[in-house]
Amino acid sequence: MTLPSVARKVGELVFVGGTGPSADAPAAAPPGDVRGQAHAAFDALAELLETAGGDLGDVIDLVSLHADARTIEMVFEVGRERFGGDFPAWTPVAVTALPVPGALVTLSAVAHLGDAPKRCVVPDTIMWWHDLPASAGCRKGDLLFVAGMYGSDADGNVNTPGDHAGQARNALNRVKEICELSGASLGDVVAVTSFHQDPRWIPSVAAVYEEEFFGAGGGGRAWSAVGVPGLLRLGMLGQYRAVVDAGSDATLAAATGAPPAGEDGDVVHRGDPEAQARAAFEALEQSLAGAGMSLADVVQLASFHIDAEAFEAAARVGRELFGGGDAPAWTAAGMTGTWEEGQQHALHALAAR
Amino acid sequence: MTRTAIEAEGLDWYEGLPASPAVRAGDLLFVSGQLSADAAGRPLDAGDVRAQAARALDRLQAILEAAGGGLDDVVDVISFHTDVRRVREVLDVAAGYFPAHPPAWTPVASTGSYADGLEVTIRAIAHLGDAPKRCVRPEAAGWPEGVPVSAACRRGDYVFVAGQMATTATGELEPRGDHAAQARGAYEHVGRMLARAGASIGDVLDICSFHLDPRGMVPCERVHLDTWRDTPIPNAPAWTAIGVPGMWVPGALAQYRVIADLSPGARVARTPASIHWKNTPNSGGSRKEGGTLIGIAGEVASDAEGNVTTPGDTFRQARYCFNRIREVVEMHGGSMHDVVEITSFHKDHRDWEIVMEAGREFFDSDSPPAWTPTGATGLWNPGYQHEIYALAVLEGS
Repeated sequence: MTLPSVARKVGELVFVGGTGPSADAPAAAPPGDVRGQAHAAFDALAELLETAGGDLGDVIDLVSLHADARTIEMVFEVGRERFGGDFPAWTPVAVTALPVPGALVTLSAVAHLGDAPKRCVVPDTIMWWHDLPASAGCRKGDLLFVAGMYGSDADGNVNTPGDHAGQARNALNRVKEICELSGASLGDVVAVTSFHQDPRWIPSVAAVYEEEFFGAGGGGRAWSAVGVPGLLRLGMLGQYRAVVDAGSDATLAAATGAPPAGEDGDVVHRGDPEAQARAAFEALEQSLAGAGMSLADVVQLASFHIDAEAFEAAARVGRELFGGGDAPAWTAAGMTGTWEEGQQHALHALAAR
Repeated sequence: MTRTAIEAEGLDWYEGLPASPAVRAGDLLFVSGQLSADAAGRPLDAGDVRAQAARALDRLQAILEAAGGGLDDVVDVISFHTDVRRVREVLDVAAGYFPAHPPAWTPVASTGSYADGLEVTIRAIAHLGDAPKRCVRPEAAGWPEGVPVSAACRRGDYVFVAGQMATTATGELEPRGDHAAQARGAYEHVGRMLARAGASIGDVLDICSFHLDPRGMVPCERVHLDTWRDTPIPNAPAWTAIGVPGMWVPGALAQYRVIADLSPGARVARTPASIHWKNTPNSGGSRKEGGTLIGIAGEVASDAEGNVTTPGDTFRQARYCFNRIREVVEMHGGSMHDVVEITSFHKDHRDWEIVMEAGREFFDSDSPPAWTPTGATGLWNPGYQHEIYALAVLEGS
């Protein structure tokens, strides 16, 4: 089962998902060619944006998911060519699998079609980002995206090697700095997505996240944390991306959903990917309800799954749940794990009206 | 017992590495993970897993022939796959290479190999002796059908049990979601397969287990300790446990692959004081009293108290692992020269180059071990960057 490439437009915002190879083609095309697949993904993204009345220059957020971390640089080369300049906040992540066997890269993007200027920043603390086809922060109107930050120094060397919490602190300080450089603050962060080289480190990051940055419970922010097999450079242990809404009236709501713990403290429906998918979507719905939204308002969904069977189950359940209305721009990938062992899915959604 | 590195055409790229395409020690031939690459090591057949599998198997065949054997001598295979959804395609191709008496074959998911685009790596052990090869293929349902995979394979004194899972008679994985129960089920199958091959749990040298989520290893430790609770620590087997990004049979959470040796005498465990699990029935490395093959537990960068040494230091963690391998093999009366095979598991698959660099000082550059590096999702402790599993054959008499 695959997920269609989709763009959802709400006001001046366009949300795009899953522009990698689709099952409409007999195989991921061109087979084994990362650059070719990257160009195809950018073609699909550009086409969807054009249909919505925009172009690649309007993209302010880009998440690229890669079958192998060693191909990130190749996709960067393609992205540099396709964007030209004024790069979006770009978060590249290696994952354990993509929905279509043979797919090497897929893209998820947010574009802002408004007239406000696009403001791209790279703080001096991470000068090495100037060599990437990526901004560290990209703001248009009230909306700011912060690209996935690492624990690194100005030259791109890994800070505090082997210390996951130390790298998290360094990365979240960069998120804070980018918010401030962009005329926003940490208080405006509505969502964080983090990627970890080992899911067992997530609890130690939670302590840093809550105690030093976002307060108990993360101050109600949506936070998804998933394990992935590799990040941009060797030794990088975590990556932290933020969605920031600096407006006085909230445009976006963010929500997460994962199978919760049952009464016995263990994850519900252990070993049953379909029942866990339903539980994850229920949790997502509850999380959305807190912001006065529902599943129908979800415009962009990122989902991570422990294996292919879990992905298939979530795709079935999601299609059923979204069947009646507009489907969100949905990007799915494999993860090495999320908060608790036994949780087969992690959902992260943006909703807008 | 003579130990010889085997070379074969089209494998020039090994010359720059502290790794041999294959190493022969006595009747056993240990072959490095074969893959689809040109003589310089550049990946070929991009995006075509069937062509990659065929080319890897052609290479394996060429190496076996250079050593004076053939594919029919292969008794054990571990194949690493970057997408487990394509394991069946690889096995379909392999069926043409193993028309009868297939090896004990363990397909394992990997996050990556030497270079991106290499979708399958096939690592093998062959037995070139004259003894008949006995393959155990349970006729009871539950073992995958139509694939060139024996559940166990014996030749001479050696028995290889392919990765066993908790499959029921109808081929279902049960109970779903329960790591410990699946580990117990897998161990029960291991016991049955050993018996069918004429061996027993007392002949097991080492166990390699692969787990869907690294956290799934924790409940499996209890099962391991229960299984070996009556085994005195000086006679324990070696255990290597690895987290992987998927299982080739949906619903499986763990698979257990075992090497047994029917050589006479008790199993002899050797565990240096530097290894933190020395007080449990897990050895640093084990062999039979009358045997020469040593199964060495996946060594990790852990001090005697279980703390991670040199956190975040890729090179020094690898060096630490090799020093533990050295200690184990020396306690068995051997030397690093006796290490014939290495399978190194890396939390970041890109680390293999640094790890091989660290390995240079430990191995004879004229005759390094067969070596297969692969990416894993997690090792026992989240701070471990590598787990290095090795086999050694003592020169002996």
